[in-house]
Amino acid sequence: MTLNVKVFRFNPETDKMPRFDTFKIEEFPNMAVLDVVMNIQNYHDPTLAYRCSCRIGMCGSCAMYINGRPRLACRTQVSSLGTKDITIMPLPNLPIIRDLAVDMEPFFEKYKKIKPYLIPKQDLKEPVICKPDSGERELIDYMLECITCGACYGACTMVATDPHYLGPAALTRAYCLIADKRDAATRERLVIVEQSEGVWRCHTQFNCAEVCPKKIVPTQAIQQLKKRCVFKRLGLFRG
Amino acid sequence: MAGIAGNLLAVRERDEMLSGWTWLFQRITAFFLILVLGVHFWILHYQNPGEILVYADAARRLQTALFLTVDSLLLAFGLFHALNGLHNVLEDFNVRSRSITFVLLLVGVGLFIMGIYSLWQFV
Ligand code: SF4
Ligand code: FES
Repeated sequence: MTLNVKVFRFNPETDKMPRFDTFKIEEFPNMAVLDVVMNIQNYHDPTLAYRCSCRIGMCGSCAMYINGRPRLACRTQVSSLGTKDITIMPLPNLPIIRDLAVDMEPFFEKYKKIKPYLIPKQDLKEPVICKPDSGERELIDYMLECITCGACYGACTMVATDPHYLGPAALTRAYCLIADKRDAATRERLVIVEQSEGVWRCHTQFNCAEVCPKKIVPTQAIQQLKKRCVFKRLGLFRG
Repeated sequence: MAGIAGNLLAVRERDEMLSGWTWLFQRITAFFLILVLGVHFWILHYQNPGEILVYADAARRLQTALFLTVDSLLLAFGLFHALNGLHNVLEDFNVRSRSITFVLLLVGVGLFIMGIYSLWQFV
């Protein structure tokens, strides 16, 4: 079977306008979209720029806009697309470095704003254990699976309209820390997420949840954060 | 802790104190609007289905304390919901300034006074 692959090409340093290049690629069994991209680079055009590393859906570096939707190229089987016509573009809402490689800096700048690491309470005795059945983990367990691929960020229409909006991934990480009973900076993190460019920009469209390769629902984390922000305003937040 | 808090609080602070409250009131007013508009429609169109709506009836209804209170609240909540919604849309498009908030507030207060003045004519 031959695949008709359209690939977005743009070098901001030399090109005035982006363009699409078309390639005919032979499909093989269990072929992933990343295999398609590698095939193009190996056998058709060595100048094609893209990013990947682990090839097993762990590093999050191969997120691309594949047939109108942000996906991990390494975890997207060609057969799952249901068509032989494939269009590959860079992840939306991020500056393009070249072709399919985007600059993740704005994404991680926002991630940094919420201080994405645990600031432990001083009076905790090591080792601190949150038992799986204690309820202390709430929803955070599965949200810790985030691989910072940026697919949710690329799918979010609110990020598209307001470049200052913190975005789904950073807010999900903030929630994981705020809901963590061992964290000492809960209130301070809430102060950040309750800014007008924080949780209030989310209009619960669930675009992020639709595309997350780890099946995380950032909207759920954001709603939990909104609840805590309101409780804090009402003086009912214990954290 | 002071260090951490200081750092975190250094993030841009603007009219942030309002954000959480307006979000909460947007929901409360939405709930109220659905409820009261439902009652409003029911009384006007379904309570006496045969009745033809005439100005004199509307005027008589507006002389009762219940209708005056409900309509005043509808006016206040409707205005808040609409103008705060507009404010949100502007913020979604990264259009933010104190003057925009102030103009919307002025428009809201102005329309509220106009509405109350009109209702008062029936008392
Ligand atoms: S929440 Fe999901 S889509 Fe967003 S960065 Fe994390 S893994 Fe990727
Ligand atoms: S290459 Fe690591 S997630 Fe795809």
